[in-house]
Amino acid sequence: MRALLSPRSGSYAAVKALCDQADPSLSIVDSSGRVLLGEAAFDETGSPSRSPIFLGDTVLGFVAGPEASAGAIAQLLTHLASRETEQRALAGETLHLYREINLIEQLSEQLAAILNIPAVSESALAQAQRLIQATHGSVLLADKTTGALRFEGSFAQASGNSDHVCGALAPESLFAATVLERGVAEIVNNCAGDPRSRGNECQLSALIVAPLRAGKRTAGVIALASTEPAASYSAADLKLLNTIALQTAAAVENATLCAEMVESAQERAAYAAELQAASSVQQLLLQAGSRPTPGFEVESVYLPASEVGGDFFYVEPTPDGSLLAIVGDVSGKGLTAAIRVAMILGVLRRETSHDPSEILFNLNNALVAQGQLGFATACCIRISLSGEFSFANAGHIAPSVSSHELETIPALPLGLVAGETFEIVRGNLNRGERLVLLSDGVPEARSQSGELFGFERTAALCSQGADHIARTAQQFGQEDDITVVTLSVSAG
Amino acid sequence: MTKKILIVDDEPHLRTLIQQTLEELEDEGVELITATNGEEAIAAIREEQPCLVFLDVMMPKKNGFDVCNEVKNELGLRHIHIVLLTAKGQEFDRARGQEVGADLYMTKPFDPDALVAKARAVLGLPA
Repeated sequence: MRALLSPRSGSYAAVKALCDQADPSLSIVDSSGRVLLGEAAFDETGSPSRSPIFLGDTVLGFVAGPEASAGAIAQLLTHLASRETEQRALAGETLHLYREINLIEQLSEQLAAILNIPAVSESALAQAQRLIQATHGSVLLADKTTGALRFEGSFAQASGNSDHVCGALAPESLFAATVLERGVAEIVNNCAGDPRSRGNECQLSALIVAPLRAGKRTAGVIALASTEPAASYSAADLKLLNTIALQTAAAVENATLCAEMVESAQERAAYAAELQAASSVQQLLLQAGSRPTPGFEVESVYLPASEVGGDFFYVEPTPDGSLLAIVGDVSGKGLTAAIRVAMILGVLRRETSHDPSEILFNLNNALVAQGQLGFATACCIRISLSGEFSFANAGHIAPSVSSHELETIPALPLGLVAGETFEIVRGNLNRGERLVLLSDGVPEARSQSGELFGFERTAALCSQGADHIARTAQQFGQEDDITVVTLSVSAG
Repeated sequence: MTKKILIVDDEPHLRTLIQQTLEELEDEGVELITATNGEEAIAAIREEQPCLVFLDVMMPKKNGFDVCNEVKNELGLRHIHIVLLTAKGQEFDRARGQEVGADLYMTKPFDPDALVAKARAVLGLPA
């Protein structure tokens, strides 16, 4: 009534004009007796005449004065009060929607900036609580592997003995399980009467659960509940919670992807560090295998294609002053190949024979005995101080002398057949000549245009030092590990 | 002296919505006044001296920027707090808002809670 007949209201001037026109003695009072228009001219008994102004069954006030005029004005005010109430109800509904729109917008902005799942859950629950009346709430996420639900966030208003999230909103909740399985939101307005309500020890009256759907996958659920005895959720609440759930699911997905990326980057960094350590160990092992041999000039270069390689070489003097050298290449790549190389170097260090054929025979048997270690090619050579040499070859690239490839006797690589023998080939290395042992990384180097380095280029380089050969092949386009060992008998 | 809030919007339903949002302040002695265009707004500001004005930007005759400029820069009533209301999706000219001395701008559909909170803060009423 006060809003209707406030001097600033639109209806005040019209009602006043009508009253003045009909009868200046008319007055209007509210239900508490306060005069809103005119001068009070009646007492508590209602004299001279009181026409009530209604809103539904409620009396808002009275119009006093001659019965005919007062009755007509009272009817008009009843109509205006009804219109005003309708308008206010509509405005109230609109403001409610405004509030929802703004809260959802705030939630979107908040979630877009969060890449942490517990914080996403907390924001979603806080905003849901502002939009939908609830005493309890939880966000449950399903494990990607087992599908089991787990808590990601929850709230519970302290009330009586229900100051914790009860079983109906916990991971073991059958309500949550149903929604997770069906991917469809659900309202339960009579929790006590629902057979799934085991664990409802905090006596929830009503609950509402929505799936967190990201694409085709349901990542979990968001659940709200109330212990208020008269609590009841509506379709509008369901729509709101679904809207919040969709935004939450997208944010959870983003946060999950981000966490996976961080984890993967950390794993890659750890793996790179391990590889680097393995590379250092391998270089040390190979260097330790090359011992200076008086009377010979030995150059060795080892360029693995990645941090660790599958090539190996080993050089040592024999008791009679000869030089023993072996160059090889194991099957496989990376750490697996590096472990095989370490094992082979260990076998060679323990080897007592100085005969190339026997050395390859023993190494072959050791590799076969280990099993599951793949195979390896190798060429083993022994050179005396006079330049006489003998070598055996197990499927490896033949050695060269003065750019000429030496004839070899075909044999299987090491590690395939136990008891395999490797025949000896003999020759002589003149002073000033250089014997070259290398791995297939040299002839199989490949340029960006796809051209192979090939055996002709390799042969042409074989009068050069090991470093020159290896770097030339590497610059052409390294595809595999490159190992080059050059041997010559010192002058004098 | 009664604290007054002036609501200026040419859309009747928006005036009603803002009025209804701020109605709770009437119980704390705040008076709500309305104006339907820029010229009415200037007249109401001169006459009523409100503490706070919620001012729609897009209005016929005299828009919100012009009203704000006149109040703050021409009439020198810098103490009157002016909140410009702009439609969602409509690019708000921040530079123009700053130039005319607006204290804040809010987008429609406005957040009712933020509107009340702003009014309480400006009028010094408890939150």
